[in-house]
Amino acid sequence: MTVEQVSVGAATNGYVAHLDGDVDLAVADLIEEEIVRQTVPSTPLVVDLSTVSFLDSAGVRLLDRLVSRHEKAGAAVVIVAPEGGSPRFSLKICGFRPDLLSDTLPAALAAVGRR
Amino acid sequence: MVEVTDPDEPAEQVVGGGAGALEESAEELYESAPCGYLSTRMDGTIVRINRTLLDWLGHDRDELLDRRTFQSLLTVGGRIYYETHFRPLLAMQGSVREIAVELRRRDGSRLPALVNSVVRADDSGTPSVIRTTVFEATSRRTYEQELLAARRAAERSEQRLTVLHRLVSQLAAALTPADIGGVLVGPARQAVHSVASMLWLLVADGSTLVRVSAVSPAVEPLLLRTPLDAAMPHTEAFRRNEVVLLDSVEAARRAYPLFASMMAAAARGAVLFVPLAVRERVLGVVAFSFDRSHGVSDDDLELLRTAGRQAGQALERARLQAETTERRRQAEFLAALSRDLEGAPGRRQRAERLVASLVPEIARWARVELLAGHALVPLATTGAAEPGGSAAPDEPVAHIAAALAHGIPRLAAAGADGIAEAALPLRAGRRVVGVLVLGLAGAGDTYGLADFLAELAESAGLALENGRLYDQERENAHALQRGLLAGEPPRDPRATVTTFYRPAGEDLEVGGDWYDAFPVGPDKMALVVGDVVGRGIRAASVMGQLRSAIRALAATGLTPAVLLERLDRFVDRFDAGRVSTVAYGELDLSTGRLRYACAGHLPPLLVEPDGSRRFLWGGRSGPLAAFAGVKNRTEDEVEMQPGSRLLLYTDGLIERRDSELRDEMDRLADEVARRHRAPLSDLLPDLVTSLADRRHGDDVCLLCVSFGATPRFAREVDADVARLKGLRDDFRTWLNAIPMSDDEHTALLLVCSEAVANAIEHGYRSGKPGVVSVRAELTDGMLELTVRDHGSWRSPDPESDRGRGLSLMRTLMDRVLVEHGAGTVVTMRRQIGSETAA
Repeated sequence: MTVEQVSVGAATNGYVAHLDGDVDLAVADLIEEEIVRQTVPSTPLVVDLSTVSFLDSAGVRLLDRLVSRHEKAGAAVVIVAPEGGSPRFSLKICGFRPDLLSDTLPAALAAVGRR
Repeated sequence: MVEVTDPDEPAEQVVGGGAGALEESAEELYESAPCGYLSTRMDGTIVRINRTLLDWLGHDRDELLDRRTFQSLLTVGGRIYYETHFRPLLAMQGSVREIAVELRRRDGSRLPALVNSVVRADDSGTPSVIRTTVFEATSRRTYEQELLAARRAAERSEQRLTVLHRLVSQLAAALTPADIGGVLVGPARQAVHSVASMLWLLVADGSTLVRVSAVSPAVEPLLLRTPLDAAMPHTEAFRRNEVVLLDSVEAARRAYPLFASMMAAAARGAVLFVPLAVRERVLGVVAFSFDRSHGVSDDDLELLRTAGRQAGQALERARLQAETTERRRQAEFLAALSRDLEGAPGRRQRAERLVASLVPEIARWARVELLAGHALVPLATTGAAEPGGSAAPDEPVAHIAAALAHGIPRLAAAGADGIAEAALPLRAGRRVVGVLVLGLAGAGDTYGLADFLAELAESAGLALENGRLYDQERENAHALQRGLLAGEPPRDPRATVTTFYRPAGEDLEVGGDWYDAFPVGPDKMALVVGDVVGRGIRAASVMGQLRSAIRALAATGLTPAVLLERLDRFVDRFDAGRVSTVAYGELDLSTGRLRYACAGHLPPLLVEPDGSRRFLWGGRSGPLAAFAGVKNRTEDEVEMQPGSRLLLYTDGLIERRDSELRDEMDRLADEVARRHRAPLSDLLPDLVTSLADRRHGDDVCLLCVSFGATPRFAREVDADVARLKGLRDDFRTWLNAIPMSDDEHTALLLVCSEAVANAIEHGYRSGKPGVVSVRAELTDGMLELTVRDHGSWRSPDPESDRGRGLSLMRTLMDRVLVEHGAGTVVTMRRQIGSETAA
């Protein structure tokens, strides 16, 4: 199930991890493992939550740890979470840094390239 | 007229009779008689002796007369005989005849003679003189000795014949090379008085002589396995097909220094090597050792040569026997293997079965690899060695590459462990698509190995290709079926449809079960579950036709019974799908009214929100276009209450061999009722797990529709984080029925999920199963959400950070109350519809 929920690809500016479906306590750890396995901390990362239908605090935690991992290595992380969607809501409520959020994938890729 | 008076008197007698020139005196007759005359006193003293005897003896008369006794002229043995036999006999009988003695000549040589003696008495009757005649018996003695020698030779010949007969019959009875070896190292060795023997046989691939049996164990490895080109006496005997005799260590040292040192070490004086051959073909060599320099007689050599030929024939017989047995064994193995592989469905399973069959009976390890471009991808492997383990590291795949290129099995040279790797190309038609690699022990000793490997490659290749075709057809059928069953269920806030499909088994074909749910007009939803008779692609395509036909018919606004009638005609006309069963229903989403009809299908199950349930037995008639079924199509109606669920299913869910269908249906009803508060998406998988018998081999196909929402949301969820999603889906559906802002909706969904996650994580210790209860109710615009567990709450672990969940709940809800007791109850409230963002 988890393998279908996450796919990691390479873009010009860094990695893009597409997440899909419900990212909750049941699958958060497995998704995180998969992303960590396929990326390098020193390379910028965009996490695309455009097709994520639900994000709970465990999901927020996983994103938090990814940000920590990459920023400590000097690389940028941007999360794509469109306004009005459930992931955006959860991230806002949990006080996620707004500068880490983006509405669209192209915007996120551009932002990651700038930093 | 001859008057012979006392011959002791030297009388001059004239013997007349007209002979003239033949006139001989008695004296003359006596002296020059053809035999020897001798007269002795009773004590043996010689008193008279004739010229002949004197000549024979080489004595002068005066040397003997009155000086010597008769017995002193005899040899020692003769004298003993004289005293023990001659004299007593003479005394008893008065005469003796034909006594064989040896006289000693004057020069010491011996004269064999035959002696007759008679005793003469004087006038008074007292024995006074012994008269003896002596006949030279040299030629007779020679003749006797020749006879004796001939007799001894004949005896030896006879002995040898007996030995040979025995050897031949033992060899004829010997079945295996070991038996033959036993005959050679046993009786044959004894027949030639050898102290030790050794037997070598040629191995199947004709390259080496291998020691089979020996009386004394050899330590030198070269003696155990000797390549034919080695400079050793037994290989020499083999090559020349001739007996080789090393009659001393020195003789051996000249040509075979290594062997000579072995001889010396074992204190052997001579060794004889005999080839074992059938006509020109040498099959082995036997060696006989002697403990001192030994000249082998011609008779012995001839015996051994004959034995060698006999043994050669026996070996040939044994070899043919072994080869026949081996080939038969190989043929049986291949036949059994083919049957075995046919029993496995797809290519991977066949490959796994193949390697499992080969190890350890035929090979130490086996692996199947498929060509993917230029690389080889392993498909199945078993056995001890790592790939390329036995071969040299810098040449791991030469034989594999050669096998792939030429399509012929290749055998690499055996490694130090005696194991040779064989690469068998696997074909699909003409193309080589992979390779079967085997680690073979004793490859050189196996008869007909090349043929066997070629046939194995062919069998395996064919079986794997058939497996691939099977996989492909199965995949096609599944793809067809998936295509037919694909598609999202219709989305409508008033009803939620969930489906479940599990094909019968990995190795069986696709089945004919299907489900369908589609809108009919703005307010109606059609629900279908059906079962086509048969399996495979044909059934799948029939199922597709029926599905399309039903959809088309439903769009024309027919009621269920009429729809089934039309369907009958459709099936009849196209003669496809006869005797299929269908359960068809139309649910009015605005009223909850369900109209349904069952064409020979199991009755749907209706579960009320309070858990009460019943089967819908109305609207029943026979299967589609069945000649013997009830043809009159009827339908029935029922009201579904908000929060109720309807289950359509096929018999794979409940049919079992060992129990009544009615009992199983009751069991189904119980299981569904038990779960009437389970989240919908978890319901069907759980049902299947608890009900469907995997062994039955039938498809399981389910459709469940949940209609409307109860005013109060009530769910029981297993305390398992995997269940969170199902719960959220149900809660979302319930929330959908309540007017509220998107943010409120999102917030409530999030809070509910967090609360249940908390209860799962903190409420129950791991390993102890539990249930989390969720309740939600909207009263006067205030939504109350309650989450209860029955475990013991652990305080939030700062490390796990679950505390965030709780603070999140407090942020989004107006009120959060946590009560600990026998379990924990978290009660949350929020005003809804007031558009106030959290």
